[in-house]
Amino acid sequence: MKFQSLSESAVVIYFGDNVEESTLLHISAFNKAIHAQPFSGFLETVPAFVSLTVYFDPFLVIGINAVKGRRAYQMVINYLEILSSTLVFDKSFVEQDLVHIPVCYDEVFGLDLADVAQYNRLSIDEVINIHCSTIYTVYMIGFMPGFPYLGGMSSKIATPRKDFPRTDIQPGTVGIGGEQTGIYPLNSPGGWQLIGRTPILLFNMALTQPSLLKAGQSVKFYPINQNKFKAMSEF
Amino acid sequence: MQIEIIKPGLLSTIQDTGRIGYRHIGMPTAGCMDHLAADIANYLVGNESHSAVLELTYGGFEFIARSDLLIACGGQGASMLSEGKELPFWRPVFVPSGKKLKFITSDKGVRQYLAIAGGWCCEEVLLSRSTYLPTKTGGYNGRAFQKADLLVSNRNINVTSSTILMALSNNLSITFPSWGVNPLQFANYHSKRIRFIAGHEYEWFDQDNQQIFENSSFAVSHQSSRMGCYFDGSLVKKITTKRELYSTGVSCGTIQVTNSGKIVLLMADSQTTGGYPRIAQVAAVDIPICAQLRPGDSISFEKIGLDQADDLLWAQKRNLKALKETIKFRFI
Repeated sequence: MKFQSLSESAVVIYFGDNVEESTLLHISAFNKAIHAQPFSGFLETVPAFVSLTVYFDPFLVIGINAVKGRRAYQMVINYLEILSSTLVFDKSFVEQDLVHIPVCYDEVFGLDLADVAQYNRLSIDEVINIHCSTIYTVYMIGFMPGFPYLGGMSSKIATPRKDFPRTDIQPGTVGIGGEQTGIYPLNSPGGWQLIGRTPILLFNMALTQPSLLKAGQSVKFYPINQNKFKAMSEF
Repeated sequence: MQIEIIKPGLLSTIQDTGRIGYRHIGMPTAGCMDHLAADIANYLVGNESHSAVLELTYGGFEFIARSDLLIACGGQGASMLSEGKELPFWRPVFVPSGKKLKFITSDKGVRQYLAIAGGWCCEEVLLSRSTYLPTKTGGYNGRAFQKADLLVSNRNINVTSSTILMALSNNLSITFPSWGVNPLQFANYHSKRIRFIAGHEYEWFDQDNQQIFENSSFAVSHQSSRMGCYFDGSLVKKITTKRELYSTGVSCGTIQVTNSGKIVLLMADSQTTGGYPRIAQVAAVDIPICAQLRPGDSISFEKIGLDQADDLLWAQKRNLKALKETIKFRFI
């Protein structure tokens, strides 16, 4: 484990170099522990693939202990190091439910599907089959409200991000960025390769829990045609 | 206190110190871009930092006072006029009911903050009044202001606000004190050198590219928004053998480098995580300066240590705290 300041008011804990189930468990456990035992000035965390970012108010961390040269980030790192040494973690931290998500891979939505196929020397159908045959783990929600980063994608369809990000991507668009796949919940700029679109809402502010998915869940895609897409559309 | 919007201007929204606690579901903090100007404006009417303010973009915003008002305006992108006369920024201003005020674009910056005694009144959504337009969250029904909107302030005002109001509201004309705050004592808004600390992927760039980042000037692009500042200029290339980064936490002030070598500075509405290498993190004290950068402005970056950035932040915080205390007793 490595602890590193991101700014005057955030510290990142790195749990390893590779995305693995055990890393996800470790991050979930640590995340739970810090919420159970927050330090004064603690604000929130963002769990990610191999990291957990801890945000804090440096003035509250220092509080009345202001002494020249005392650093909030150093105090937080010291605290987190001690917390990590007390940590016990197990599978119960990760939710197991599987969410099935329909995706229309027609070229009207899958603008970069042909590029992804060509880059990986596959047919378009092969790319769709590979994308739909995997059970993905929601490693994190980020980049935009409700955006799930899904772990477990086959490296056979991995494709680098685009050199020039698009300025407007439609909600529900499914993409591939490097070795990751995910779904854009809202209109957004973005640099991922676009391969399809789901008619399901990923983020709904009308709900008390606005995000359809959360870290730890599993996801499987299934292909639908454009008629089905229209029938199921929640937009 | 109440106002009616006559013209909304380019982009006028309610903001506060930001939405904390929802970054894990990807909800950006939003909040004031130039939190320093917002803090000063709030303090000048006796408010705390967390009171909601109006964030105005350039000029164009016009309103009529539907009651007596105690307001203060801070920022860099406009001047404030009533009946053809310029009203000062960085001072509390008493405005009697019926007066019209308008904002005219200046060439110094982008955003100004209109604070009112008690703070602007609107419902908290996910613990904040800040407007985040992409999900229509917070602020005034989740949207930017439009013509004919009515906006009220919170009825309860504190002792400081009340004292300032009493000191200035003794007649029927617009009144303000002869003194004001000099914002340059808190941040050098004229500076074109933005200080940064090395980002977590700083070493993903070889010395040549680190030099390009530190020694070139970059022009602010028209694409820039509350989400981030985009820059045109020299391209910064990461070492080609580096793999793609696993998306990880970012924050306001994080500078990412896209695959094409463009640099992007994340601001208040930025995403919560990012997958482009983070070459730099802007020193927190220089974020207000970045919030006022206009498209076409040319800036460069200067590397400092984290401890130095922290010292600067504490110095700014101490100055702000002293200002707040001064205002508290100024009118007693």
